[in-house]
Amino acid sequence: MPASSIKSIVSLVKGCVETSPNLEIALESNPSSLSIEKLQQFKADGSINRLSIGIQSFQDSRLKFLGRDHSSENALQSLLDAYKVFNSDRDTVSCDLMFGIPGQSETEWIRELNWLFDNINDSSHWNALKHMSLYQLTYEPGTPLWRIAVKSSIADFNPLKTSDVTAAMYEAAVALLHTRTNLRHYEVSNYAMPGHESVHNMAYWKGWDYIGVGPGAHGRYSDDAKSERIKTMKFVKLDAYIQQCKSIDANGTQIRKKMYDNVAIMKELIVVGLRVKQGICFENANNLAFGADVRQVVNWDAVERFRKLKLLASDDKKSFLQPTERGLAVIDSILLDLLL
Amino acid sequence: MKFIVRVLRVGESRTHIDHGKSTLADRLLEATDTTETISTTASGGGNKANQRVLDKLAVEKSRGITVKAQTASMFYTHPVSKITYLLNLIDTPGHVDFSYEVSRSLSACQGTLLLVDACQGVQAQTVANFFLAFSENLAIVPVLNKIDLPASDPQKVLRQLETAFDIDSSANVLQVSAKTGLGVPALLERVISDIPPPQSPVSKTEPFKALLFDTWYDSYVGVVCLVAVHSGQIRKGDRITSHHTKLSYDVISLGIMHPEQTATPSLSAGQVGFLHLGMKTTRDANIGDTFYAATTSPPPTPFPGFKPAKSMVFAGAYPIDASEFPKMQDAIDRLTLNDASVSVARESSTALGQGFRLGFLGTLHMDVFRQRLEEEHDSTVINTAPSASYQVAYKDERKVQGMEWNENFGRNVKIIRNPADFPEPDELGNVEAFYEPIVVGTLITPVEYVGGLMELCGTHRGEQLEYTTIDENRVLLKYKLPMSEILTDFYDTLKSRTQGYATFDYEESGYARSDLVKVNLLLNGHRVDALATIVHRAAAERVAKTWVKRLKGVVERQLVEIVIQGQVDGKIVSRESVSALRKDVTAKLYGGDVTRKMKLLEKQKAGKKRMKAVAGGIQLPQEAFLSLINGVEDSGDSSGGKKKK
Ligand SMILES: Nc1nc2c(ncn2[C@@H]2O[C@H](COP(=O)(O)OP(=O)(O)OP(=O)(O)O)[C@@H](O)[C@H]2O)c(=O)[nH]1
Ligand SMILES: [Mg+2]
Repeated sequence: MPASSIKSIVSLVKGCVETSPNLEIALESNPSSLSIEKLQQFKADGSINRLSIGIQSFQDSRLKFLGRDHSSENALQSLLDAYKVFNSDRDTVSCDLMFGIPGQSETEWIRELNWLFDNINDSSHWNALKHMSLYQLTYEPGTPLWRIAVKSSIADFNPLKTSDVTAAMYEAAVALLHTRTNLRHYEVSNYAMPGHESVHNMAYWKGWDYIGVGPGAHGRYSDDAKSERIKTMKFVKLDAYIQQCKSIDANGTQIRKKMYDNVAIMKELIVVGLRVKQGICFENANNLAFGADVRQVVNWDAVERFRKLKLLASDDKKSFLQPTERGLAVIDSILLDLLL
Repeated sequence: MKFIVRVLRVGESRTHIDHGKSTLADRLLEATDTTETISTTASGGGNKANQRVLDKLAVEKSRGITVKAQTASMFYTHPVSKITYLLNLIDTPGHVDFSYEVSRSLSACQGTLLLVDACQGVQAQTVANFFLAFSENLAIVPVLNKIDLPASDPQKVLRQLETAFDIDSSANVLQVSAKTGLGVPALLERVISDIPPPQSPVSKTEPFKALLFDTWYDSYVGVVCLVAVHSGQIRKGDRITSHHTKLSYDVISLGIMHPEQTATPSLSAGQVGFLHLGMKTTRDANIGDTFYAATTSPPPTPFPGFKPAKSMVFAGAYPIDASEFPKMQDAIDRLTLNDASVSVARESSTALGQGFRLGFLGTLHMDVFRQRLEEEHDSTVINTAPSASYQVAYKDERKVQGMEWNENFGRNVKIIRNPADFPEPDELGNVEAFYEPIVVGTLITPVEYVGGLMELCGTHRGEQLEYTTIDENRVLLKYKLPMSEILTDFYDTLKSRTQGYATFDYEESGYARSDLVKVNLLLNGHRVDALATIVHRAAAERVAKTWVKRLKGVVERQLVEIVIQGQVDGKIVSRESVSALRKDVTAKLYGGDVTRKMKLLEKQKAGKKRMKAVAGGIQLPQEAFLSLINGVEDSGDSSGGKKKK
């Protein structure tokens, strides 16, 4: 996408709504589509101040497995270029990496991270290291990746379950980033320097409203007058989406709505809220649920049990609920017992 | 339909499991136009030919065995005399665990077809059961089945019949194929000539009197009663009285099983049919009860009723979700209506809450009952490991609650059907003796496997009573065995060691003194009462070790480390652990993923409903309790099932 398009979208949005002075405008990109000039245009014309680069791996063999068209060499170059261009205090460059790729060992993974940090350090961009996303490779049944994974029958590999090997990779990365960088683990797969957390992603996890534009995009908005929260989903098929955009009464975007019932709203707030280290502040959450008490969907006996196991933190007033570092790693299992 | 009132009943009685009773029933129903004939000789008809219409239960279809006796009425016109007869057929189970069904059915029979597989010959069950039918004074029509198979050897089997039962092989024993229908017309003629009509059929003008010999629950009409009419006649709207409850009912509808419920204007002496009486509760229907015309005065002498079944094995049954206890009570009430051989008592467990202690005739019976609860009544049950019923004699009886008089020992004993009731370590000093139930097992095996079976019985504390060669290559063994020994993997091992060729049957044979101990399992230091078992001291450590290993095999990793320990006499003798789950979290969850995640969560939560939290939140799968006794691989289908190896 050329920077000029970004520019016109940004100015259109700014013309419609009032925006805050520290507005985050984020762009996701592949390393292969980035050059210094492009980066500069994004920053200058597009007023982009957050850039996430989907690098995935710095090992060529792993990139090949993942079907990426970039090399580790140009990935590193793009990242360092981005650091160079997005160098102001309010700029953030993030780098997405993956672990748990078949064949990858914990040693290789940690060596990869250290190698990256060494390079950032050696090129004197250490202060630009403000955000990272480290994802465990997940397999969706039915995808080509799933089939490859099943066929490759790697030892200790079960696409359905997290093995001890991937658990060790996750834990090792948490520990390494904690000791070696200034980044804080703030969500399951995300690490940031304080103040550089991804604002738009936090919106999902905190249960705020968001508008999704484009085919397949999702949105949530609250109708406070009716105490209703509305889900929007756009056509996934491009043709149908274009048709819809052209018709006038559909207002160009929205195609399907689903009302939530209140219990669903509350459960969703818990599920997304416990993915962040900060956890859930029930005062805020109750506001988002139109004043209902979100605590009613929580099994507090289970909370008590998880508190004793040091997997969750809370206070006796039940004003907040927070996963501990260990709790975060197993939050899906916790949620099964936690939600009523 | 017009027919000569000469009524016969055919009990197609106890032969060995799999000899083809239900398949033959299909052919008989077809030959009498009760069901549509399906081409069995055509190569494509294979599947349908094997439909076994009288195996009506889902469990019978899935396991391929009959567990419930089923009745069907058929009209048969003799080809020569052109007289039409009403025949009542009862297809009975072959497996020893369902023998109660057979003994019940015999009361409504005048004759029995003794079906013997012409390939396999006389089996352990054939021996045991021939004499039962014989003792009931029933006409016995021996029939060789499966003669279509190339491997069949009718001559050899005829010789076996002669040696075993003194059946004259020259007496023109019928040879049929239940699969192809070969010989079935001749069999029907033989039924008419060899099986007598009911003794002194009493005239229609006599007052109505009938034996209630089966009941079941139908979700539309409620309790359905199956009766054998002894005298008189009954019509819709007639008023009848139950001898047992003294309650009276107006007959809402009635008819015969043809093979499904088919309304008829009346039922008369000699007929078997169903009645809808609008009974309020399942408790009002009692197998063996006598119904009579409400106007009969004085009330007639009732039928003697049925001997209650004697439970051999006991197991706890608990709802997974404690709130489902009332629903489970309902399900059990309805199912025991159809299976009176199950004994039911309430019990409670610290680990599992409110539940029941159910008594069964064997472990296959137990498995089938649990499966029926799930399939027919949507009630998911935690089944604890089965246990025999033990007895304890005490030195000072005053210290003990719940003693019962034991006729055979001539003293008071305490009966223990649940390992939780076993004396605690501090009470053991007061125990004078433990007694365990003993069975006499009959094994028939090809001679080459005798060594293996003798060893098997040896390791199961068996004591040989008899060794008979029944023909050039088969041997009959009789062993005295503790009941508890055959509750475990005994039957499966027997089948696997003999490639499925050996057969086993047993009958109870009193109690014997024994050195018993209780094995406890502990989860993270908490004793779980529902996981305990009672064993002979010599086996205690081995059991404690294998059970701990097996439990480890079925417990999934959870949020805490789980330490599993086996304890005998208060001493820990085995230990395994399951390490805590380290990571279980979705890597990416952004806007578009939330809906899917919520759906997945609901699905997983539903899956968790089959888990039971015990001892401080440790979750055990429903099968965990039962898998202990048979090992993990065997849990769906424990001992006694029809497994062909
Ligand atoms: N080839 C052949 N197979 C037969 C014949 N009769 C029965 N079978 C097969 O033998 C198996 C057992 O038949 P069933 O009719 O279920 O036997 P059953 O005696 O009712 O068994 P239980 O009710 O469990 O005691 C089935 O697979 C039948 O298809 C026969 O005449 N010839
Ligand atoms: Mg059968």
